[in-house]
Amino acid sequence: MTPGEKKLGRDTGKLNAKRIIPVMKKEFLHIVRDTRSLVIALLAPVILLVLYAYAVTFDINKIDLGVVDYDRTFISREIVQKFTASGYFEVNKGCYNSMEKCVKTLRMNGIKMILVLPYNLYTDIKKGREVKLQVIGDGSDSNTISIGLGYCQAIIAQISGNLMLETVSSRGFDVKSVPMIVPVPRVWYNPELKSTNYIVPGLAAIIMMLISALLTSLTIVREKEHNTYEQLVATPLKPLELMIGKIVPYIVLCLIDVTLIVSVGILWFHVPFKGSFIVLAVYTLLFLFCALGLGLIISAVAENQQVAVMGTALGTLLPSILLSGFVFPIASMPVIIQAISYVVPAKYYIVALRTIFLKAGTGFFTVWGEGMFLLVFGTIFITASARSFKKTIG
Amino acid sequence: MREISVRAEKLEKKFGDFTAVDSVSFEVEKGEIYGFLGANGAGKTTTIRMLCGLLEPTSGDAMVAGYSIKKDADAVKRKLGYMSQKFSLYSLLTVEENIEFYAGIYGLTDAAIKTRIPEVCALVELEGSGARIVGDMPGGLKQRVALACAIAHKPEIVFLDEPTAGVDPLLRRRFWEIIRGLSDSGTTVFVTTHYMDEVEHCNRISIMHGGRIIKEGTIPDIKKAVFEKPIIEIQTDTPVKTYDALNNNEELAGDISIHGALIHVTSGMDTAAARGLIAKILKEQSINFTQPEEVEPTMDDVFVKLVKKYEAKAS
Repeated sequence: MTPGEKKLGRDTGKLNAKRIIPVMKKEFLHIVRDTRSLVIALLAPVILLVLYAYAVTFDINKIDLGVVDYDRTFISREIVQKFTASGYFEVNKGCYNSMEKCVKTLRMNGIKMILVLPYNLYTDIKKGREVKLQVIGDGSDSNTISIGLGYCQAIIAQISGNLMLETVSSRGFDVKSVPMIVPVPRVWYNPELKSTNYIVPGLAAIIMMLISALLTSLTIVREKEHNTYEQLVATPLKPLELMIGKIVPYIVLCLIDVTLIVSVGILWFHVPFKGSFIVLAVYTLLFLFCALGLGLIISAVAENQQVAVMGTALGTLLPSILLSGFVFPIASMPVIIQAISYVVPAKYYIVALRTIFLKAGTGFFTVWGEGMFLLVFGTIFITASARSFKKTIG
Repeated sequence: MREISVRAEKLEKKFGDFTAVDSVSFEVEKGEIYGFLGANGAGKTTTIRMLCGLLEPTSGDAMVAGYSIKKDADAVKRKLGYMSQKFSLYSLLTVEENIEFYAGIYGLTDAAIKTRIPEVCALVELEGSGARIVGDMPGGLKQRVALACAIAHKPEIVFLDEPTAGVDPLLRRRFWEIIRGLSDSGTTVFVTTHYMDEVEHCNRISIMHGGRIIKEGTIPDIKKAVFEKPIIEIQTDTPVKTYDALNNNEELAGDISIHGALIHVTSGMDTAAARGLIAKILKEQSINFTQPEEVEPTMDDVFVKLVKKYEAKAS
């Protein structure tokens, strides 16, 4: 082997910035000149966020309630009044006081719950007997019903407590001498329990997962479709150099997307931002590194744009919604599913975003565990995709 | 001294059970225009892809610019320029940006690229078009941009895979003049084509069929070797009828081919006697025809005869 050959041999193993920069430059020009795709890439995240943030809400109020009042006294009417005054229930007038109509309306989804006030409600209370209020719920919508039942119990417990105190004081006792334990709940970081406050950061992560993976997978697949990939394989350009050169411009584009989404979250949805923008930027970069890597893996397998779009939607969107802790708590999933959730990058970003958004006084290391996972998986994804890109075709 | 740019030794490529390239050996000299002629599916593109390090050979090896394509594909890639079948350019970039990109990934410095862009633009006769967006240009010009990209880094060898496919004849002729200029300046040009007339531009050619080289050499040599006897040409308005009439004559025992309104006949008989016989047969069948004339064989003739001979031997 001549010395010249040796030098070439060594040179081949190393990444060369001289080859990466032209790729980056070319990719930037392509992004900027493809105006239609650029507008979509910038507007889609914002539109998705606005649409879904309104659609996805867990605040339940105005549950349709059927009322059957057999007692028809001022007490029974007062109980119904307490239900409507709470704001959580709305009495359906069409089936008022008819059990038959209530059942029918429940079956046809006109109401969600039925409240039955029994005969002799008033006399039983006056005589100090236990009174049973029947509450029927529509179990086909168990999520709403379990929340509705909770509201019910709270309202009834309050009425019952008041009755007890009245009784006690009417017998000549001082109300203040009756022993009671009262909880004093304080919810930190989101005191009003507004669901937008944690839905918006979660949605931001899911949307960015989709957009960033989609953009990268499309950019590589497009080279395959336009035959430029074959041309590139014939040059000394290495797969990893191509990956890096292609990823960097998209990181910039995705950072702009994140900025837009976060601004919409803060300014439009009034999600409080208590953390630091620098910490947000760092964790966003880590997440993008990971998400773009996932996009590259998809593009290594996909041969055309349709497959790439399908693959990205299935591979990122569903896991990000279901296995990220966005709505369904991971801790209550079976162990195997919990294990799978570890490879979902959105899981870490959601935790990081919610923490940075809502908790004051967070720094770089508050969610460092999440950051480490993102870094590790990003590295795995990128190296795996560079390996799967053959330096030959066919 | 003869300097060899490409030397293929028993190069073979199999895709499953199918042998796309079957033990192909040849040599290309430095500065030569070397053509691969063959129908689609003959194995030209597979061969060129192996030589460029895009496909790994199943067996055999080739030395390209002094490096083995098996052991040193990376070094080979640095030395060659490649233009794939469909000109693969970035359609949203300008001519200059495309050239700059390819020159860049071959490692040219910014200063070198600056001086090189006008040079290659002049070479492929694209002066003044540097700022045009490639996607808006016609096919013939795109082809030249693709060539400019392939030679931006001054490769020792350029591989052109069907470079003139789908380009109009006038631009094709200009393109070949550019190729000639490249070869005159010492660049080896390896080109595949299925246009028979185009190979006349090549110094030497290989004719490929069914994954094998069935003939190699300069064009005059090949013509002489394939056609010992001259070709007799007849013009007629009923070519198929004429073909049948002549083909079924045992005395003539000719090799007959149709070229539009022209019929080419080669026969083992004495030329003058053959001409008389042809006239007689056609008159008997009352076919309108011009007097049979002797003509130089075209590459079409050569190709058809070679393939027929090869097929006959194979079966």
